Amino acid sequence: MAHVQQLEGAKYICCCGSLKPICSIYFCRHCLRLRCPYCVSHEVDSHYCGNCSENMPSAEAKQKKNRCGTCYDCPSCRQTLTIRATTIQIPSEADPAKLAVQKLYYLACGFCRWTSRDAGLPDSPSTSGTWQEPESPFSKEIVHMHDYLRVLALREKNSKEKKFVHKSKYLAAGRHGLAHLLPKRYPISTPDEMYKPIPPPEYVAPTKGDDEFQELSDKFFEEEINVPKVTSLEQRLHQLETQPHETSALLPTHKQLLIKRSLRCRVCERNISKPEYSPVSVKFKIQLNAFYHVVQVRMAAPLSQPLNPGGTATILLKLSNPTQFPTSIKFLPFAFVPLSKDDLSSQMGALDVKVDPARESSTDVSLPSNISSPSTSITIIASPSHGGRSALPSESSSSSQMMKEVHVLPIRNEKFVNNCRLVVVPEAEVVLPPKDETSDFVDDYADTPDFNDDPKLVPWRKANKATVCLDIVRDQNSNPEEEPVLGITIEYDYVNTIVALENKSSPGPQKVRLQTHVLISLNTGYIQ
Amino acid sequence: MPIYEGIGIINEKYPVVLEIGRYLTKAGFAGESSPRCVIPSKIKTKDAAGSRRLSDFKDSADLYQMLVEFLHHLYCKYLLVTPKDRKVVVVESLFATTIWRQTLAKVLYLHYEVLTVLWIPSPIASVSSTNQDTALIVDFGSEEVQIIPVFKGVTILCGVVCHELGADTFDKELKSILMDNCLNNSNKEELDRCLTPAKVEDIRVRCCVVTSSSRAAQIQRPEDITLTKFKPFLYELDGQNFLQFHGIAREKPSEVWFKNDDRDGISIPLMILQVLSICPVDTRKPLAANILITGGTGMLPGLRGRLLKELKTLTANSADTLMNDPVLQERFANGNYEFKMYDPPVKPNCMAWLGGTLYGATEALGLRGINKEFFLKHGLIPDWCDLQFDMVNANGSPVISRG
Amino acid sequence: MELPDIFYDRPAYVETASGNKVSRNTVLCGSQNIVINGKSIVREGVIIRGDLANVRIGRQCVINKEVVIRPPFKKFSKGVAFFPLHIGDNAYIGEGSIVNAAVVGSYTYIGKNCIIGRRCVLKDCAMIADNTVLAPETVVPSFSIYSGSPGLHTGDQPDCTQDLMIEFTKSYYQHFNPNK
Repeated sequence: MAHVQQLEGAKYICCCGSLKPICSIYFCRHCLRLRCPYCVSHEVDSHYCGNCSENMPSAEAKQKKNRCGTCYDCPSCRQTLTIRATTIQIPSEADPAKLAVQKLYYLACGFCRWTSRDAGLPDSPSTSGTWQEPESPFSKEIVHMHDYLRVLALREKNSKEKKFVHKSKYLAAGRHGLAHLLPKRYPISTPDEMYKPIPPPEYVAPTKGDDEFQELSDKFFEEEINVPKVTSLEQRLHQLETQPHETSALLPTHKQLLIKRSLRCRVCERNISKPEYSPVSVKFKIQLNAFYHVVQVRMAAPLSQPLNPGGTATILLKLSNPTQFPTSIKFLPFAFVPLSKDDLSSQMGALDVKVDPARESSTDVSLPSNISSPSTSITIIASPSHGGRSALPSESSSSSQMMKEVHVLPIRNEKFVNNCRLVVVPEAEVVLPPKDETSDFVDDYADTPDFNDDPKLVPWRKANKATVCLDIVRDQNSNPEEEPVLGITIEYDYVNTIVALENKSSPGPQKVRLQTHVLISLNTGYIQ
Repeated sequence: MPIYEGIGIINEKYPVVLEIGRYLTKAGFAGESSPRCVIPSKIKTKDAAGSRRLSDFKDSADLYQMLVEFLHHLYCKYLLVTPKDRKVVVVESLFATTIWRQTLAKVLYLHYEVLTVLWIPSPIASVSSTNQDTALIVDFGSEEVQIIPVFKGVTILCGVVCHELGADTFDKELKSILMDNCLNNSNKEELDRCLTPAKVEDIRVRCCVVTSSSRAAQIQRPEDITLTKFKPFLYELDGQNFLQFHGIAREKPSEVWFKNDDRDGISIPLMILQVLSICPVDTRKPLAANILITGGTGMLPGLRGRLLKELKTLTANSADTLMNDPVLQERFANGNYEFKMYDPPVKPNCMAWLGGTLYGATEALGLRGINKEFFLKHGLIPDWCDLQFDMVNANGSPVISRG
Repeated sequence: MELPDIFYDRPAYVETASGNKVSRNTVLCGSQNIVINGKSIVREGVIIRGDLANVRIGRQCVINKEVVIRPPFKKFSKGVAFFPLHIGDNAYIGEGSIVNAAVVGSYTYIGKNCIIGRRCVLKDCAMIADNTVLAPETVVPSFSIYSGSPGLHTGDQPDCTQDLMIEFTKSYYQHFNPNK
């Protein structure tokens, strides 16, 4: 709990407007946007059993109703049953006079001590012994009902489609000589067939009068009910076929399978997360969790005093760069605009491409940053090694992407409280070096290159982490009942290695400047 | 087991059949004989309550989020299939609110990208699971009891009668009886605290029964209570604490269905007769001979026998007026009606779901289902109460009439 | 929020060459059978029963106060045998828990006051919530969260659990310093 709780203080705002901590949100490398678990489509990758960790091919899973073939669940407490052995002595086959030892197996629960003998099941001579499964007593009748309804539905379908054999049978036969084939292709749809009466169903639920459905007799009330021997609703609902009244009729059920899921971005239809096939492995083939790609922001220490409306405080934010490339972070005032279908047309007009003369590189094409933009806005910087204009993903694709986003994604727009803001937005950018895996093995990161930090802004720095000191003020008219929440937008560099592989004309990875909006709750202390 | 196990069918995707009730949701696949799972219609929350009912939504945006989360949990934990591109059959109540239907449609079509959804009203589904076409459905729900006549496949809407006699009312009645009849603990506040809604429901499911009419008559008369024999029963709260209750607590709560002095004398047999009198004359006898009980609350032992006996007593050709209403008295108290009940192949709590799965396994899904294009074009799904959808065109798909 | 600094009395803990910080207030029976790979922390009141069978603990683990680590046994027709207990890397075991498991995978998180039944197997990246009681021989699959008594599968962990646990245990170790 604590390892996840640490990160829950800072919530990132996804493109649809929902708030999630960094470990629960994903980053699509192609769209360059944050995606929460509801903005991605979930697909089932593979089935496996939680107990025996065995993979099951999907066809087999479907046939076995998504249940493991070997593991059983206790019907009274839903724990996994274990197979235990007893030995009995029976007359051996070879010599009836001698007694041979035979092992018999039964199922037992480690928690509630239920055994298969409680259900009246005989012990089985083999470990994978067939223990009786609960089966509906009316399964055959239900099959008959299915067949009957199928016939009715087929007839209805054919009458609608009117695939009658035409009167010009003669013509058809003469032209193609296929007259012998035609009636067989549409067996039920010749006019004679259509008006044949439907045969009556094989099974019809019987109706019974009061001679068969009788009231409870007086003898019933003379017996005392033993409540623990009666099944509870939950136990009955797990054995739906029979739904027994007594616990002695509860049978063990096969354990349900678990799934491995792969996630796909709804907008660009590319994989975001794909686990490995093996059920035991915790690695991923593709893993685009925001934890690995987005700069992590969190509070370094809780507030020493409660922050009242109108009050100021100094906080320490810890920034961490999880990527393989150095990044430079700039703080901006909170600029999140919820995505909505109504505002789209006005936003579209504002996002015309402008070449911003203020920027140094002449090949920059940037979205004007003074207009507040929905979730992540993208400014594309051409790679400095290439002198001329490189083939950039054009502005039309980013606007069409936004159109698609609005239509495809569920717009959530979770309500949030944002009642603190930065007093002074720091001008300087904080540079963070890339994450170095080998830093564990070196105790003192002695050669920290000098970043020319303002010591008031960046009091501490180590490897790819740094703390930043900021002054904040709480809104005067904010509700004193609410928790103090600081909203900031951070702008950072992201190096997109994927585009380099796809787009052969632009050499080198593409460096992109991304904005992410974060809401930091200032009060959540760390709970040990 | 899916019915046909031919080679091609292994790769066939069976449609998902959902019935999202007010209290429990049943979900499974078409072609099977019972749902894969029956779970409470709740989502987990991080606050103190721990869970929230789907029916307690504040507005449509809130309901949308809850349904997305609920269906996600259903698909990932119980059904174990990808929701996209798999057809769905939804069995819904006749009186499902528009906001509920439209939001569920939005979640299914837009969020989970389902291609076709077949919306079946639950009376039709329940009737099909008997393989007949006529039934007088008595649906015991968690909130109310609905009596819906279906004759030859047509729901007689004007004859539908509902009253708040569902599980919630039953539990309230049961709790007050338990509080008055506890034998080893008379501290009312402590009892009130121990008897949480979950525990009261547990007692209802395990211990309560519907008694015979003779015992019921004795229970109603306080002077005769001492004559009847009641056996107390023990209910375990946890490993060490037991509560002992007087046996009357097993039998009295279900009388709320048969004798209600404070609710205009409404009782289920009278409701049935009311429904029959609204229905056309020729349909009355067939409906009376085809009563169908659905809904989990109606699975208490002794209910069917008692209901039939009460109906027989009420309509017997006798001189006493047992009914307050002279019209009903005249029409039915002549001994001419024979009341019979169905003995269906599934338990009452899965009846409507079974109807859904029967439809889902046939061509009806393609013929009568509403597909995504229709929903995107019109933004609505057809509803029986919406006069825009009064007409169907030649191939059976609904048509919006302007004006 | 960052982990708070935890200070201990320098003489109360033994710091080994491989970076393990083991409290002197623990009961380590059969210490020749106990192997703790580097940079782990074993806090006060812990009881490790190495006398019953081998106990192997991985790197960067954190074993909090009052934990009992006891290898599980199995009854045979000819008596009782104790099985070795393996704990993987970067595992965290909360206060007061009793661990009788056969295998505790890497990157697992075990909460406070849990009781892990005998011969349980916890796969990598599993999580056991506070106050859970796991029935004997339960297998906890990867990325699952078990809670309640009896322990049942109630939730799922985020995909990046492995790195989260690595960072968590590493940061715990870095903040665990002697009093100056």
